[in-house]
This record gives sequence, structure tokens and C-alpha cells, in this order.
Amino acid sequence: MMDTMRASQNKGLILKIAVVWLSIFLLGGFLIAARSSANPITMSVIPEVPKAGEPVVATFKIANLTDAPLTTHYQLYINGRLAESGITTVTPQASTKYQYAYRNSLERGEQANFLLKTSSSEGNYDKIVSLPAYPSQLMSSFVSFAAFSTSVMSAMLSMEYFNTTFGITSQINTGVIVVLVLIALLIFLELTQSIAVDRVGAIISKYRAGFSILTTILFIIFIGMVFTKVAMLLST
Amino acid sequence: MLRLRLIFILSLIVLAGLFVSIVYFLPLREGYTETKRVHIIEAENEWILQYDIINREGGDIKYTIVVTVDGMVYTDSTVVKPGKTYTYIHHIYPQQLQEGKVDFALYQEGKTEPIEQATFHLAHN
Repeated sequence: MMDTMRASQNKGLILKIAVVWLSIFLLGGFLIAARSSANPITMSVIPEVPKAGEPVVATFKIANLTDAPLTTHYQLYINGRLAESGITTVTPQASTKYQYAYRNSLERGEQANFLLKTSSSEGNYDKIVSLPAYPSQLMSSFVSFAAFSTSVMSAMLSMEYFNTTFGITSQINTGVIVVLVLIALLIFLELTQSIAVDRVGAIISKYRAGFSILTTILFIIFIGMVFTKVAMLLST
Repeated sequence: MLRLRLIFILSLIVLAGLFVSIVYFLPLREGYTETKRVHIIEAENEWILQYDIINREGGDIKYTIVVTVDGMVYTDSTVVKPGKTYTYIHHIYPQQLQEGKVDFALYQEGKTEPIEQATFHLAHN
């Protein structure tokens, strides 16, 4: 009886270890891929479907990924016309943020194109953003819904909102706290498993039950944050 | 059993370390400290040029700001204390614009070349 229970616990532990190492390999792969494809420029434009007369805000950042000051030349083209150009010297491991806000003259559904070009001793980069992302013919049936959703929810769905709330630009990183608490709880649950089974410690069992629920809730929150972050990374 | 449990706990610690390293070592562009912010905003009857100078260095730094609106030069200077941000705002009215070319240059004391130089082409709309 005891042997069967022990074998079952061993199987469970082996499965847990396998899942943890699978996560480690996946995260490691993501880390290597992200490091190798690091791009020093980023650009976002809101709203997604601009209306005539409404403000359009193009935000771009030029980062210095190196450990020495870096001088970068840049040009921002809006619908093929040069809107802004310049030279910036960015301190190591820092970035300069630019915002260009203008009143949109295009009718709703007409495509606006933004091109950012940079050149420095680290290489030449460019970033293109088109709004709407697809030609108007393709998304004509979605325009009204998209315009509604972006005008109502643009503040909530913007990169700025996510970064300041959950991102690494915020003072306290929510993601790291959630992960560390989650892992600490898992270690506690693992360490107290035998105590609860053998000695039937009432207090520990009570804590275990409470912490199990907390672990599940934190895990759901964490998965939600990971998916949002991945979506944000893919969109930039 | 004990060995497996130990391996599991060590694996969790490795996973936690990996998460922390992702946050602090992954070169995510959004995560870099912003040392300067340049905004050009089209308002109802004007353009607003806003420039945030953030001093992340140890001592006071003196900056000189030069704005040229179609050849007309405006100069300003300021001293930014460590850890503080100075926001420079310049209003540009349509009657000032002919070609629509606005040059902005930021000089840091002790450096001959501007640390920031931008040209805005405002007449494109």
C-alpha cells in the first residue's frame, strides 16, 4: 500500500520536474531568440483607424543597446513626406523617446504610412507602420467596429498603458513579484506535502488549502500577463 | 523520493532565476531608461514643441537650447539637478511659419557638438 502511494508520488514528482524543465527550455529559447533579434528602434501609432480631423500620435524610441554613448541619425516619414529628422546621442543602455502628434487629414479607411529610418555605427534599421494595417477594401466591413473599439479602448490597450502598469518601466515589476511569490508557494506546498500526509498537521493543512487556491489564482494571472506581453512584443 | 523532491525544488529555483534574468538582461527596447523625450504636437492654432531633459548623471548639468523657426533663432539655457527633469516648451504659431522648418538643438556644457538635434517639417499638412 505504502509502496504504491510512494510510486504514485514519485511519478507525480517526475512529471512536475519534466514540466518545470520544459518551461526552462522554452524560456531559455525565447531569451536566446530575443537577444539575437534585438532591434534598437520601436514605433507605435494610435489610433489604429484614424478619422479625419482626429489627432494621430506616432511614438518612436531609439535605444542604445551598447555600453558606450551612441550617435544615431534618424528620419521619420509620414505618407512619404519627411516630417522629422535629427541626430541624437543616446547614453549607454538608455533610450530617447519621440512623439509626433498631428491632425489627420485622411478620410477614415485611407491608409497612412509611417516610416522610421535610423543609422548609426551599430547599423541601419527601419520600421514601417501602416494604419489601418490592411488595405481599406480588405477591412471595409470591420472599419466601423475597429474605429469604435480603438476610440473607446485606445487608452486601455496602448503599449503605454501596459508598460506603465505591468511593464519593466514601472517602479515595481508586477510580473517578477507574481513569479517569485508563485515559486515560493510551490516550494512551500512541496516541502509541506509529507508533513501534511504523515502527521496530519491541521494548521499546515489549512495553510496548504489556502495557498493552493492562491497559487491557482496567481498562475492564471501570470499566464494572462505572459500572453499579453507576447502579443505586445509581436505587435511592435 | 527525497532526492526527487530536492531536484524539483532546485528546478523551481532555476526557473525563478531564468525569469529574473529575462526581466533584467533581455534587451527589451521599451525597458530602457529614457534620458530624453521630444514631443511635437499640433494643437488648434499652434504647434507645441516639448522637450524633457532628464539628468541621470551625478552632478548639475547646464544645457543650452536653441530653436530656429524658419531662420528666427530663440535661445534658452537651464541647469538640471541630478535626478530631476526639466521640461522645455516652445509654442510655434502658423504666422511664424513660412517654409515650416523648425530646428531644435540641445547643447550640454563642455561639449561643442549638440547632444540632440532635430528638424521638424511642419508645413506638410
